[in-house]
Amino acid sequence: MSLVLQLVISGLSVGCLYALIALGYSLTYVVNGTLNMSQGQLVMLGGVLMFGFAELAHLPFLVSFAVAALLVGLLNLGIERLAIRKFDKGPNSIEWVLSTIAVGIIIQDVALYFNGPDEGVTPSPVGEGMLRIFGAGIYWKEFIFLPVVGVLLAILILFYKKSHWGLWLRATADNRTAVEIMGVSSNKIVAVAYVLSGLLAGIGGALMSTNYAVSVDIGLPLGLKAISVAILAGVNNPKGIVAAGLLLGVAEAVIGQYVSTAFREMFVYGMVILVLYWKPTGLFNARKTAIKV
Amino acid sequence: MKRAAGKRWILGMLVMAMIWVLSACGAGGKEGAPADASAASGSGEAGKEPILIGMSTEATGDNAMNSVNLYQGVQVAVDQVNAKGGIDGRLVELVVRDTEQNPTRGISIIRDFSQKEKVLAAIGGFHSTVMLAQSPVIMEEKFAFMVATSNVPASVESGMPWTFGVRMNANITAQYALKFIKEHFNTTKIAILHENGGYGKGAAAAMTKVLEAEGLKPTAVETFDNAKDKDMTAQVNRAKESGAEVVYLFGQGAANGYVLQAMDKLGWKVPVVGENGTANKGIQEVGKELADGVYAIQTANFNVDQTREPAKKFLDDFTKKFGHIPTTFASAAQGYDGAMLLFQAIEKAGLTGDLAKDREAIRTTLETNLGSYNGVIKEWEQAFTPENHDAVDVNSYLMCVWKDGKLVVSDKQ
Amino acid sequence: MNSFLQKSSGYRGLAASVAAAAAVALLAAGPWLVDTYYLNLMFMIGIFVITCTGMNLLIGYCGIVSIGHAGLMAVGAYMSSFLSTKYGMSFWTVALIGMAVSLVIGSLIAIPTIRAGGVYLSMITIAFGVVIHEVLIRWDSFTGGPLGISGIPKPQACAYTFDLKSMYLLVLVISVAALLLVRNLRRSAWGRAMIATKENEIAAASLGIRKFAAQYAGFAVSSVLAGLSGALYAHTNSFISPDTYHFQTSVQLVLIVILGGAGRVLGPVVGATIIVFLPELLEMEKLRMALYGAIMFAVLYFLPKGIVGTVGDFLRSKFGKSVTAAGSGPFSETAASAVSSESGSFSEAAASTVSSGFGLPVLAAASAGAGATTADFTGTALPVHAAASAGAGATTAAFSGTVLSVSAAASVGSGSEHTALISVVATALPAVSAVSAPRKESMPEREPVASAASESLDAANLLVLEGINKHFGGLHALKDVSMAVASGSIHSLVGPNGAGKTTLLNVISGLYGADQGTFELHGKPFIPRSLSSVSVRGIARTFQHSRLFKELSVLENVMTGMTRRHRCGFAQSLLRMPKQRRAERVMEERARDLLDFIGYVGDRHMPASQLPYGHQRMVEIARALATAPSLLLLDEPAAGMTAAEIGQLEQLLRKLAQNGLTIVLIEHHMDFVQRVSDTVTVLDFGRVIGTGRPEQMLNDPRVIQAYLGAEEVAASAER
Repeated sequence: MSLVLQLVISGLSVGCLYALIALGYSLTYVVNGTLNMSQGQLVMLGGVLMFGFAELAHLPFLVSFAVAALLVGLLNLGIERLAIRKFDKGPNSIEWVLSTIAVGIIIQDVALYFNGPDEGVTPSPVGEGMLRIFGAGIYWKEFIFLPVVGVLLAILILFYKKSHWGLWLRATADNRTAVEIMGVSSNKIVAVAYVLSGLLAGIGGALMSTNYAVSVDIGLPLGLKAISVAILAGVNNPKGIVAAGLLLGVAEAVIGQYVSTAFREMFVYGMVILVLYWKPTGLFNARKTAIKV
Repeated sequence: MKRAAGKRWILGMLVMAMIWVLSACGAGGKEGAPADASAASGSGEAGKEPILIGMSTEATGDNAMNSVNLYQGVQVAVDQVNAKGGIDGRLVELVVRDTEQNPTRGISIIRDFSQKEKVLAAIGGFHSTVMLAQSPVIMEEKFAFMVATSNVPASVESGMPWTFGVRMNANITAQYALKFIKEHFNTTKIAILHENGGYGKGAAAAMTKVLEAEGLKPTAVETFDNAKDKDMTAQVNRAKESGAEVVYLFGQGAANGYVLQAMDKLGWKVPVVGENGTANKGIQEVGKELADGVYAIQTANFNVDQTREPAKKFLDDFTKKFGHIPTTFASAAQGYDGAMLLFQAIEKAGLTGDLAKDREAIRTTLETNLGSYNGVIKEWEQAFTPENHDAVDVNSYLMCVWKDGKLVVSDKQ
Repeated sequence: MNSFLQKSSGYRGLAASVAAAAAVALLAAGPWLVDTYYLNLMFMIGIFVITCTGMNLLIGYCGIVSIGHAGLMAVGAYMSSFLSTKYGMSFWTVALIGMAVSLVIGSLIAIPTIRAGGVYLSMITIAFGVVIHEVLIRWDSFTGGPLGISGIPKPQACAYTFDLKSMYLLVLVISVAALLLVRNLRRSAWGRAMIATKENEIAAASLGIRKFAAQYAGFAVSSVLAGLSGALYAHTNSFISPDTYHFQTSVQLVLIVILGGAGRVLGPVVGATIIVFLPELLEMEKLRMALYGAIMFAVLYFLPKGIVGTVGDFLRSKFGKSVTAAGSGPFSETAASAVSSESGSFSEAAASTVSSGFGLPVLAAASAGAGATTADFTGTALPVHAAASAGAGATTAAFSGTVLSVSAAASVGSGSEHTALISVVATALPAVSAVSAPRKESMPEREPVASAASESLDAANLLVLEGINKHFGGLHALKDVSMAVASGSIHSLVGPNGAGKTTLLNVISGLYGADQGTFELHGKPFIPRSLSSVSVRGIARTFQHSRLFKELSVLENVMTGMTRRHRCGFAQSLLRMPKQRRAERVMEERARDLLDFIGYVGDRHMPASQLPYGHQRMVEIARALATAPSLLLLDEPAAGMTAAEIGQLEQLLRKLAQNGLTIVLIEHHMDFVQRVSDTVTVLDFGRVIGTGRPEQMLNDPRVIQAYLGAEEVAASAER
């Protein structure tokens, strides 16, 4: 019993990470149907900046956290302007896949140039202590991932439902032209979505660096894993993404224990293929993808 | 319309500027490497052709840190030999290439060394699969190649007359580890946890083979991915359930730390023995005090006072040049000793100027006529023979252990 | 002028082949000119050219960007290496097996990928690439795990063991062959079908081109080539490991194609050369990877057509015929939709540039007299003859049978959609009597022609619809629509915007399925399942906005219409067998005849994107006719045409009807409808509110009320 609990708890904390990163994809996807393929590298950048500010520059934890997240958010504004806007030409254009992959390569190498290949962990303000629940252990620094993801999801949903920008974002997803007619620049809305998505990536990276080692090459595999989470859930469904992220984390632990540790990666991507085969818009997807004409 | 065109131009200029800056930075980096060699040439005889040595390293990728140590170790060797006036009055110059962890690129680099740069010999061999890809091509191009880290036995063994190893051959490491475990922990119940790359796979296969030779089996063999896996609960629990009393851990850096975390969560406390992977600081970054007591098989340790003269000098020169001690001891020491062994062979062989003949002479000298060499790792009397191309044997190892956040020499040897 | 151009292009073609032969000869001398370092790089270029030529087919022609092809290279490499190391089989056998297995795995990828489309398409290929990479790492007994397979034997032939030199020559031969095969394919019906599907899936389907077949063919060729290059690589370098085939390799393959120019035969050669030599030039530079990224980005940003594409366009604009750059990148479906949304401005362009367009004299001559028309028509051996035999001669008593009782009085709504139509109707109504008078006189002239064509057939209905219903969510778009279209008649659908005209057309042509109702074609039950299945039954259509394939020439556009009937086998097209070449010639001749028939005298080899809008519409009709239909559905063909062009269109439609083709027409130009139609059906709010002769219908009180009601609404809105 305690083992199952342990697997679930361990899985949940990794799952939080997947969920957080995958949420970043959903923000951009709903407004203009693009996925930022450099999202993983942005997460890496958030983590590396966090480590640099907190450990090397000795800034206070929260300051480092905020600055790292904001910088990544701003960077994503530039990415949107350069690598997305020109290439987002309609539902079937996928040049942005390639342009953002290129951006990811650039980010990773520039980070390597300045940071070197070292890996580092930022000390968490909650310390190194462990929480024991019925014998199953979880570090406090991992445990706080759960409330953070919960709060971020709640904020995101509130943002969608209550704020002007959130409404415009949703409207853009449904009908871009209609939003333009209302006198709101859809480019601006896309840019806002990208900044928010970058913020999420930065937060994800900074948070991650408190428990996991960050180095310049963690980005790509994380990004690919998170994108499969997003696809499994249905990219435009934030709640579904969080659910899928947590589920995937737990599933990995459970499959690792009871099936094989060797095949769990294959399992994840195999699932993606099967889901896309059977339900091309994702498992939890309520509505179809925003169709643009 | 006009404004849009203007914007596009600005954008274009920006991108061009970026490319220019990037290539400028790159060019700066390029000038950096040969500059070291020529700066040290003060005491050498100018005008003579330098001796070219290939350096196949890895500046990018998930364990580039170890490779950087190897490269730095070689640089110290080159500086020392050039400070003494080079070999036969000719300065040694490194031709450095980055394999990018890409076997295809690795093959091209070997051809580059041999045909375009016309090196006399080369050193490198970091990433295991790159080394395995390079080996058959080295046999075609016929020049001596010093494998200074890659632990996979096959790249030096099995009919490879042109590759030599100053590295921790996984087979020999496993023999040493098993002996150590039996002696100090009095058990043979070993669980192997390894990363799914060539490094971990090679080590796991070697340990399995060594155990099988004694009619034993590892209690569990579990794999993880260095880059992707963050939660090792499943792997560790399976190892725990198998009844293992020692963990033979072959991952890279942080991944090893996650293994320690999982052991902590599961309340499983057994000795952990590893090699370079448990020696570099990733394990300590993640595991913090959990890392204390983890063993790392090395060939040198620079956290302690050096007793042997060459090691002392190496550490001094290294610290002077790079401002810190090596971060992966074995890689730096093996890089230095490997390079020095090559230089000694070149000196003893005596160069004729005929590239093919000289390369052949270097090889035969390494095998038969090298003589004694006193290095960082140990003092060798004829390090290689035609039958044995691995210089590091069971007696060359140094067991290290983490203590208070530092890797020190273990009391148990 | 034309013959001169053809001649000069002939010389140019000869010069090009001589230059290509010289280049290949020089490359073949490579082993004796350069050392193994350069030879190895050239070998790698060859390997990439083989793989990327296949991918070029997939990316450039089919529009499928696969970011998982390294996995397929791995399949070929591992399959052949495993068999040759384990069972000692010869290279030639295992390479074939490797290609076959690669084809099987490629097919597994192709099926969900083609189904998914859009963003998910690339995701599936990425996922497949990752899964294959994982399998390589995990499946120890087959792949050797992370350490890969060592000691792969070199190929042998008659006691000769291949070394790098001979492998290079082998790879050179194979890559030249691959380039030639893809070039052949581009010039075949298969290539045109691929490009057509990529550019406009719906238009391609309406011509009977099945998307799956075309795109699967691209996948199959690229899988086989990837498998082959994998086997060649493995047996040359004696060692393979999973590290060679990860995500980055797949990205690199795509980059080669994009860099060279997707859809350009020589693109992969240029792309691979750059990608192979670049790291050698940069050696140990810092930020090398960033530079690759920047180059990839810069190419996408500034040279969307790639190097070969951009240089090619530049040369053509400098030395060739006047060619203006059409802003279509490698994935130009988007360009097509962008163009169609700006139809207004295009029609203006059409008005100003009629230089290369339609020769009025041709049409005038053709329609001078009924006898002359027939002669002209039969002389050109049009595919329309199929239609003639199906149901010609029905025109005589066309109108008596066509008027179906309308179920209920049309509910004249006050929806705002009506306002748009008001002006059209307002101008159309007064003109009714004036226009219908001369038409009456022209009708008898048609009778002898029709009866001459086929007297044996009775006046029959070609298409009968009964109780068609169609819902879109809560919107009841078609309500119990019943209609009969007489053979050989021109049957117009009119009604305010949103009345359901286009929906009805889409239902008939199989774009949407009907929720309820029955269809009869030639008196037999008929279910319009899909665009392509409807096309097979002899129904062709055009679209509201021009959906020409902009990358294809005018002639090729028309030839795509014949794909279903005249396409040769895939292998024949690849190898350009005599039979296939004959079929191509037949298609080209027919396409020329069709273009003559519609009166097109401009440059036939001009990309369709450069045609004035009005001419695009006409060529589209020619393309629809190329499918040899018995029923032609036209959705607002006159929209965006100049007055002169509308005149030509009218003559063309008459000519077609005289030759026994049945036409269903949606049109807003009421005077045009008056002049050209035999029957008019009025739709409003998804219901049929009347069917009859045009003059009768447009004077029908119910119809007028529908329009007046709309007019009142408009008037009140203006106030």
